[in-house]
Amino acid sequence: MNGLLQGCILALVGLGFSLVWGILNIVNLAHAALIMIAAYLTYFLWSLVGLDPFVSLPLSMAVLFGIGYVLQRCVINLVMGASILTTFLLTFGIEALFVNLFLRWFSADTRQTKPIYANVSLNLGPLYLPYTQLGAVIVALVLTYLLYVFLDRTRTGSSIRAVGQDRIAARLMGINIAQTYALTFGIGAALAAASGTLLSATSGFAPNAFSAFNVLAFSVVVLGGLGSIPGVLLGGLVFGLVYEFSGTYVLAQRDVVIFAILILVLVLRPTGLLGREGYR
Amino acid sequence: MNLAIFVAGLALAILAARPQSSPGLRWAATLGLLAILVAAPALSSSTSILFDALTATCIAYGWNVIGGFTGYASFGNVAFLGLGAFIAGGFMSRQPGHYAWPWFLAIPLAVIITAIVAGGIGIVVLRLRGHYFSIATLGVAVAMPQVIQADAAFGAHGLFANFFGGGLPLNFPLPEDVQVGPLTLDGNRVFLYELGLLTAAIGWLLTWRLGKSKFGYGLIAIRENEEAAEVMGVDTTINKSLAYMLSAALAALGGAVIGYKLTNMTTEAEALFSTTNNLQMIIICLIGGVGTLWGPLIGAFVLFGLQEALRTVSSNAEFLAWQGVIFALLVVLVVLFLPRGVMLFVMSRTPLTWRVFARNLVAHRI
Repeated sequence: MNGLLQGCILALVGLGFSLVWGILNIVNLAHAALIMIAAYLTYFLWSLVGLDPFVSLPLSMAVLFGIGYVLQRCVINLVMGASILTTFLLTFGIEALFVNLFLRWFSADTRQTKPIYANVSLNLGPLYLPYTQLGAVIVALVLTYLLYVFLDRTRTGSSIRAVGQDRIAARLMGINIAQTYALTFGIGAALAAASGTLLSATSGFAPNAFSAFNVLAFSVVVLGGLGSIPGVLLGGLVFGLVYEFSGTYVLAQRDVVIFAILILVLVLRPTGLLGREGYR
Repeated sequence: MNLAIFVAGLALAILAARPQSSPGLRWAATLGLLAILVAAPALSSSTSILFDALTATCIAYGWNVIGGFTGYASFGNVAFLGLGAFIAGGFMSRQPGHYAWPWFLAIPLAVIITAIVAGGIGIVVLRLRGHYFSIATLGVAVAMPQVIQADAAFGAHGLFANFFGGGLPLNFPLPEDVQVGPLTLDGNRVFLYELGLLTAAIGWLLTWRLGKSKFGYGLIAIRENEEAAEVMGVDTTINKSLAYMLSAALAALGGAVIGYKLTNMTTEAEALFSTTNNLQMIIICLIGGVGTLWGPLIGAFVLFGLQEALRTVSSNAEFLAWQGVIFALLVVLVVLFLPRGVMLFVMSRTPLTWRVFARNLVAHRI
């Protein structure tokens, strides 16, 4: 059960990553840094101002949307036409920059946002469901649904999907590519912020604890299938369960298990479980 | 003094790399560079940063084979760096149950074993391309330290019981002083440094031969167009696998010598598998020039020369505190402003003006 709860947050981690990768064709290795920034923002809003993590969620999402928008508009847009190595190195460099700055400013101490209801659980017979976890799951599911509706039903969402399918045709239709890319990256960053906020409330964190989330987000997206929102949700749930079971039954080497699954999926079924062309 | 060696070495390397120079001059510059580097311990009181630069050069030459020649952007060579260091450490360690073998046995063996492991990993990951290959190799880098700590294989009752220490540090003595005629060579300052120089020289020699061999041309063909290379009769699977193994072997060589200098390795040795080590080999190639013979050497000299310069102008503690931030910032700036590296100016007659950087910045925008 705990695995399923954790899986919903993992799905949210993968969601922003999947959107950016699917539309911009960039594997955004700064994703984990964006999650980290949101986690610290939530922590300080809670410890200094006393704001509940679920109340500050929209605020940190808005801030990270701004950071993501500016980052894409001013920096990453400059290398969109370059090779894979370039975008990889650039986002990895941005990631390392933020992590090192945060290590300098906030040290490697482990922190956690602990509202008063942090250790209270909902008891359902034999099941104990912590309220923070439960709230996190609801937020994750709602955001996933909202993204689906946004991409599927709105004009802006259609233009984002159009850019993802064919950049040149989209430009001919009068879509501003640079701005759409920045918007998409901003939404990806806002989703990363949501997962960062939830993670800061459900587990302890330190600046260098986030780097695993890049490979994890990639694995979730690959397993579910690139370009599929239900796929990301499924991938997240599967990995949540795998994480839970490999932690209890196999060995402490969880990342090895995750990695082995990732390789198997890539070799056997490169499109993932629910993947297909384009973004839906 | 180290700074002077870096600057002189850089000047000679650029002279040797220039296609416009006559072959005689290029050879003279190469030998002059070698002479300065061999004699460095006599010129400088501390060879530590030179040692770091030269082992990093060897590792960067390794990345250059797969990332530069073959065009497969590997992000996980740090796994082989660490694995090489730990295997060599396991053979050299004097802990109970270990072999206490001398370095000239342990290090080559570690290189060979790592290359074989890389061959096995390569069979799987080299089926992937582009983003998928890069992330899969990044996954190798994340998983490797955990494999080394794995109780099932290397724990007290595992397959290779406690080979990697099983929680205890692996330790081995520093090399002893060497007596050559009337000279006594300090084991740490001179001998280990020359070993580091040897790794860089091996990396250079292999890359030099590679650039002239059929195998090397095969790799370049794969980089330019894999399907076309296949059609032209290049066995892409074999060539890619060999390139990956060679790349891992050089990473392991550099790593094993770095590990030898540590003399004390714990299974939690995060420093060997750090993101900085992982990025460093790539950024060195990028600063110098990806896929070139002199690029990695020039890149390493620029990077470590810059570090040495910063260390001299600021206090050491201050520098160490900001090292990570400066390095990450450098990665971002190099990617944006100088993606083809110093070799851009060396190979062609491009003048060194701010216009070149501005043009690089906007070259790939949408």
